[in-house]
Amino acid sequence: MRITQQMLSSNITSQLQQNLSRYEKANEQVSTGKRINTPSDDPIGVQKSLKLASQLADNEQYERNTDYALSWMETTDQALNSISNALQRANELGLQASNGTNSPEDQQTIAKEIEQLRAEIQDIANTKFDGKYIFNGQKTDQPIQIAEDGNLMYNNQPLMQRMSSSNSIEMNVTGEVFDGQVNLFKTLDQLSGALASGDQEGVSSALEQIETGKEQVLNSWTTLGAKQSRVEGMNQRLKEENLSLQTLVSKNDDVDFAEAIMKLKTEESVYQASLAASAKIIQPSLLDFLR
Amino acid sequence: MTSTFHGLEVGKRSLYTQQTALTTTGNNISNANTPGYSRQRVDMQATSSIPYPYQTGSSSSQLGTGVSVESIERIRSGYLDSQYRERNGQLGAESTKLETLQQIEKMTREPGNGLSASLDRFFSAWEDLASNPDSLAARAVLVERSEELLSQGKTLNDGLASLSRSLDEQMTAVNDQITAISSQIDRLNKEIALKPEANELKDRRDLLMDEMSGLNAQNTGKLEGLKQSLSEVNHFQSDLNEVFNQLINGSGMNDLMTTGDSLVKDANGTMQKGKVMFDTSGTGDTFLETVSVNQEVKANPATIAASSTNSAVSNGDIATTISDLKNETLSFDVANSNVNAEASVGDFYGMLISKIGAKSQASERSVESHQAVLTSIDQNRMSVSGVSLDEEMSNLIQFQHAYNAAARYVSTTDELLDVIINRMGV
Repeated sequence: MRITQQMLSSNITSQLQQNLSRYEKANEQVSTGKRINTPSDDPIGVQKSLKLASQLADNEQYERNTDYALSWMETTDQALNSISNALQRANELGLQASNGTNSPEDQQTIAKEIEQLRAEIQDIANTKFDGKYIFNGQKTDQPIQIAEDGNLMYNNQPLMQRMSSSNSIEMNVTGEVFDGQVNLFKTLDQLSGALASGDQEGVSSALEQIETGKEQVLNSWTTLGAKQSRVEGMNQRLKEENLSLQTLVSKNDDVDFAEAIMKLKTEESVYQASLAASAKIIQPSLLDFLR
Repeated sequence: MTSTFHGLEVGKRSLYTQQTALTTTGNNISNANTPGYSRQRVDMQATSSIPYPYQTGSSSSQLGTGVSVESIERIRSGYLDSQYRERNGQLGAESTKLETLQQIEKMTREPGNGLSASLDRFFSAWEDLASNPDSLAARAVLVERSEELLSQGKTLNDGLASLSRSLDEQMTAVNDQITAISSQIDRLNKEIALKPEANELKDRRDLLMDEMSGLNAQNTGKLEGLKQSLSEVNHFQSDLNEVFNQLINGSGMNDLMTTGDSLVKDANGTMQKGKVMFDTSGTGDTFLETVSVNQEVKANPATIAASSTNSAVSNGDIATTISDLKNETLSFDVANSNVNAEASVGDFYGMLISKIGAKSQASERSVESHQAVLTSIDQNRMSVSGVSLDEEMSNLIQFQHAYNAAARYVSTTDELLDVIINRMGV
C-alpha cells in the first residue's frame, strides 16, 4: 500500500481522538464512581437500577412506618402499665379497707384516694403521642369523652401502619381497655362509693370487678406486647433488607474501583504512547535528508 | 536520411516534457494539503519513430524521435469513491440519530436525578400521609413532591419539544445546503462538458459529491437521520405524556381524591370532600402542558383527602389506596405500537429509559463501525490519490536530472553542429 503524509496525519488524528474518548470515558467512571452514567452505558442495568432505587425507597418508607408504630406502641405500653399499677393500688386499698379494722374516717380517706386513682386513669385515657390521643381510634384529634357517671364515648376504629406492601399492623389500643367487660371508671366509682358509705358487700363486689378489670388491661397489654415484638422483628428485617438492597444497588450501579483505575491508567498510557509515536512519525520526510 | 537538426528537435521535446513533469510535480507538492485533490501524473510517450536509412542489415530499423506528453491524468478510483459515498451516507444518518438519542438521554437525567426518583418520592409522600393521615406537614410535603414530579415531567416535555423544533430547523438548513450543493454540481457538470480534461474541476465535483453523500443519499445521509431523530423524539414525548396521563387519569387518582374526605371541616365538624391534586383543565398541545398542581390544594394542603370517613381524621384509607397505585398495573398506549403496555407507572417509565438507552447504544456501535469502515475506505482512497511528498521529492530529482541531461544533449548537438558548420572545410 502506498502511504502518504495526509494518510499519516488523518490516521493519527482519528486514532488520538479514539484514544482520548476512551480515556475520557474511563475518567468519567472513576470520577463519578458510577458504572452507569447514561442509560446507554447499560440499558438493562439502568432499568434494574431504577427498580432497585424504587424498592429501596419503599423499604425506607416501611422502616419509617415501623419506627413510628414502635414509638406509638411504647407510649401505649407505658400507659397500660400505669393503668395496671393504678388498679393494683385500688385493689390493695380495697382489701385494706375491707379487713374491718378501719375507722369510718380512714374509710373516707381511702375512698378519696380511690377517687384520685380514677382521676389518674382518666388522665391516662387521654394520653397523647405526637399530638394525637392514642386511645380514641381514628378520631385522634379528640379526647375520649368520659361522663360523670363513667360512661365512655370513644372511636374504636383501627390505626393501621403498613410494614410491607401486603402487610399492615393495627398499632392502637382503643377505649375498650377502659370499657370492655367492666367499665373501670364505674367500678372505681362503685368502690369509692361503697367505702364512703361503709357498704362492705359493695366493696367486695367492686373488688371482684377490679380483678376482672385488671385482667382486661392485662389482656390488651399482652396483645400489645406480642404486636410490639412482631413490629420489632419486621423493623429488624427491613433494616437487613435495606442493607442487602444497598449492596445490590452498589453492585449494579457502582464501578469496581480497582478495575476502573487500572483501566484509566491503561488508557492514559495508551494515549501518551500514541502521542509520543505520532510526534516521532510526523516529523521526518525525504526533505530532511536532501542536501 | 535524418535532418541535420533532428538532434535539436529530440532535445527540445525532452526539455519540454521533463519541464512539464517538473511543473506537475510542483503542482502536486503545492496541493499536498488541498482537500479533494487527486495527485496528477504526466503520461509520457515516445513520439513516432522514423525509418533509419543507413542500415546494412536485412530488416529495416526505426529511429526514435524523442518524447511527448500524452496526457496529464489525475489518479483516482471511481470504485472507492462510490464505496466511500455509500458509507458516508450511512454514517451521516446514524451519527445524527445518535446525537439526538444522546440528547434525550441527557435530558432524562437518569439514572439518579430523573423522573423515576421523583415518582418514588411522590408515592413515598402518599405513604407518609397514609401513616399520619391527620398531619398537615405530611400534606405540605405531598404538595411539594407533586410539584417536583410535575416540574420534572414538564421540563423533560419542554426539552423534547424544543429538541423537536431544533431538528425541524436543522432539516430546513440541510435542505438548503443540499440545494446549494446540487446547483454547484450542476454548474461544474456544464463546465466539465466543455473542458473534459480539467482535472481540478473533476476533483471539485468529487469533493462536492462526497459532501452530498453525507447529507442526502438513497435512504441515508443526515436528512434521513434527522427524519428518524424527529420520530424518536416525538415517540418519546408521547410516551412520556402517556406516563402522566395514566398516572393522573388512568389510575383514577384524581377521582379517589374527590371521593375521600379532607381535614377541612364544616360547622358541625364534618370533614369535607377532598380536592383533586392535579388540575388538568389547562390548554396545550401535549397532556403535560395542560396539567398543573391544583391552586386550591397548594393554597391549603388540608384540602387533600386521606380519609374514607368524614368523622375520623386518622383514617388513612384513601391515602393508602393512592400510595398503592405505585404498584398498580395500568394500561399504557405506546407510541408507534398497536399493543398497549401493561405495567406499573415506574416499570413503564423504566422501560422507556431502557429503550432509549438500548437504541442509543446500538446507534453508538453502528456509528463506530461505519466510522471504522469509512476511515479504511478513505485511507485506501488517499493511498491511491493522495500526494506523497517523499515520492514527489524523488520524482523532482528524477525529472531534474532528466532535464539536465536533455539540456546537456542539446549542447552536445550544438557542438556537433558547430564542427560541421564552422570547422569543416575551413
